[in-house]
Amino acid sequence: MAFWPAARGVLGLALEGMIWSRRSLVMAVLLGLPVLFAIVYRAARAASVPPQLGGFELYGHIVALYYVRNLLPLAALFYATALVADEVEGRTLTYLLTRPIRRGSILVGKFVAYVATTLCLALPADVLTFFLLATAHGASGLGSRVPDLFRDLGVIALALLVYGALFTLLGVLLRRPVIPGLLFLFAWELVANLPGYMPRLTITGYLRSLTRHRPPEEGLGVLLGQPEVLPAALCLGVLITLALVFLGAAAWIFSRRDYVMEQ
Amino acid sequence: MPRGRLVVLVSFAVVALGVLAGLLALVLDPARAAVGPLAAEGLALPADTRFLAGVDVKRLTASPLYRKYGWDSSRVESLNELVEATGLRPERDLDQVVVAGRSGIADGVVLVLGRFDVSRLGATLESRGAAPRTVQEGALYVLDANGPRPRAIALPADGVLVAGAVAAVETVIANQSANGPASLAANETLLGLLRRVKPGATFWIVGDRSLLAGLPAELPVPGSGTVRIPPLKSVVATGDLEPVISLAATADAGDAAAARSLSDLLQGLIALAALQAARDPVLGELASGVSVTTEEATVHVHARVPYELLESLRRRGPAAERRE
Repeated sequence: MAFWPAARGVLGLALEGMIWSRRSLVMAVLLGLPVLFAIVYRAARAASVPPQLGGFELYGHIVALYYVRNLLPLAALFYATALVADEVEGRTLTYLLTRPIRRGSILVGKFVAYVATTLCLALPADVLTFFLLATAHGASGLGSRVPDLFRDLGVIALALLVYGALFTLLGVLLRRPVIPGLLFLFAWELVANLPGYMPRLTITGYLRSLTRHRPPEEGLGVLLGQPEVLPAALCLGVLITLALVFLGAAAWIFSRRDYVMEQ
Repeated sequence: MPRGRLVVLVSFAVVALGVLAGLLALVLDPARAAVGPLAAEGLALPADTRFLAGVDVKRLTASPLYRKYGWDSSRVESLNELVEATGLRPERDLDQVVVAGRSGIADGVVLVLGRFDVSRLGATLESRGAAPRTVQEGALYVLDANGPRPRAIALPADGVLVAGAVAAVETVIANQSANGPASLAANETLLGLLRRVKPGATFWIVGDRSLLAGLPAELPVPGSGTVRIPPLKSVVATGDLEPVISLAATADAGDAAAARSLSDLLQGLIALAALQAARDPVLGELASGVSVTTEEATVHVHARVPYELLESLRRRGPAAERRE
């Protein structure tokens, strides 16, 4: 069977299983929490409780800290490492591999299902949070903030894409990819907080440069200062290249590797 | 249709609606004016303007800062003169105030937009001794005509007032009828800076290097002599007063090395303040509210000061004076 029709078939199958799963329910709650924060913020303002942050400023903190630095990489980790691992664990990989379709199309179809699932959960939450918070002090000036929304939607999509490709590769390479993935996220990616050239060795360094939100640092971060903001063209080029390289490597390894099911 | 695809469709419909609403807001934003935050009337300001500063008076008078401290125009002599001469009240009559200057407010022009009737205002000015003068558009009144610094107030249209030195005000009135080479419309440098100001800010200021001409070129640093402050090509700053006092400034340093040098200087000052936090929590709070980033040749500074912190700083002022 041709590559793309096969991938489409795998996509349809994987999407159904991925969207209606416990994992997606948990992710929907976590990704939708900012909407709840925004509603609470609006309610507090209506009750004349003096806020410490402006609505749009809070939105910026949510995008820069909650989404880009924490939740999106975690979502990618838990979905993308399971693309192949779930099939191996459920012993259903054999059924996929015995179909007359190329192995690469299986991985691509599942990866696209992952991207579609995570975008479906993350993008609407970001849009709702933006409109709830950016209009908290009135609609005047909303137009000037809309370009930031578009930028943030792009950064969210790119974050899910590149982290997803990386963790798909990890999932294909390792039997237990979650722990190394967590180490990567919460040890290596912290290098992005260092001054100098170190942020260029991380994925999050490029993603942070693409957003316009710069929440003030606290604690040790005040002494280290904010890292340099990298040019947008460089960030886009590096991130897209990384995503293609990781995904290509994952597809190549998956198409050549023998999977032995545990008895 | 499979449930999975339905969820995908609904999600992307929400996103598409949000994007559409955003595009509509972009086009229809009431805060959007002729160039950035500057209304069309502002394009008649003089072409040799080196800096522009604007205040959204409606947002200012609705802010906690104004509600607490009121309008203290006595700190700015020229604005004090304007308020006294015209009898205008900011919270009732004014929408926007723009100051255009070359080296300071004293030689600048003030453009006031609001809701006031020019004929009634003209009568008020005449009753306070202003001498009327005939001009192409509207009316012009001269205050202290025989004194050392005669000032003019022009009322070219309902809701528009221009005040300042007589020659500057006459230039603005002449520019009103045709935005020629003597008008701000011909000053591409400032217009470019104005376009970088996000509409909707409570106050904003843009200027070329002359705006910071009064700053020292070097800063003394204990233990290591002095550190050179890189010269800046331009500055764009905006601020809001609600719910906290926030300021965002972007300085064009000319090249990446100068930007990094300035950024390092500012981050060093912030770090020094942060290290004092154990001894002086107010300094620590101030430091944690400031962030400095560089982007090629520009330096971005974001600062936020909660009103409680401002109150602490204010209380320290008189207490420190008493101790001295």
